Amino acid sequence: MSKKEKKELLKDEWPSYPHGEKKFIESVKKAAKLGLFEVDHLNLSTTHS
Amino acid sequence: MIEKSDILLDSCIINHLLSKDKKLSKQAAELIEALAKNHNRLSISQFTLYEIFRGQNDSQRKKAEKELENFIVIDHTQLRQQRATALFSAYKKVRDIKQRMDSISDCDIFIGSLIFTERKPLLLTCDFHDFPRPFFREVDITKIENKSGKKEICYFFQADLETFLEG
Repeated sequence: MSKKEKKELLKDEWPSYPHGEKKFIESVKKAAKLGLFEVDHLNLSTTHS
Repeated sequence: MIEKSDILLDSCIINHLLSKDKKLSKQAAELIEALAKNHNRLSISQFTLYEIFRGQNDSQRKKAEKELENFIVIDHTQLRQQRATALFSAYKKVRDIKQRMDSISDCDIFIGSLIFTERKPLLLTCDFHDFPRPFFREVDITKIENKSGKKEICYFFQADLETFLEG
């Protein structure tokens, strides 16, 4: 792939908060209280030992 | 503290947020909230949803999905797939990275490739080795602590666009 083609790949815009920043922060606080997963749910320590 | 940036939260950060370790989840939430209040725009990858939800029962998944509905999710488009493919090829040209490609998952490559954009967003991760040099540069760090008092370093990475373009 040429440098020019790669440069085209960098033109990418990300979306905005679907329901606003306030709702996002509220959800972060609620998510922290769910207590769903074991500390190593993603099995990071075995994948990258 | 980082401000006015687009920040992609890696799966490990969401894992900590949803952790049974209350201290860890609280600290992850406080970090995310502080970043949001500092005028950063925070996102997650569609692959993070996959990593988080796989292996969970319906009840757990639905609870998490309900809250994650308010997160920005960067989905899987053709452009992003092409960029991830290009990053994979660039990794394989660097001997030190090629030798340890089996420890870097496809999800890590895809998530990492998302920050290779003209706007130069940041990636917040606890997994230093999943995002190799010289493609990723550390611009800041912070720490969060679990209930045992063990501190975990969280890295803010920026993509080195020149390395990607030349690779």
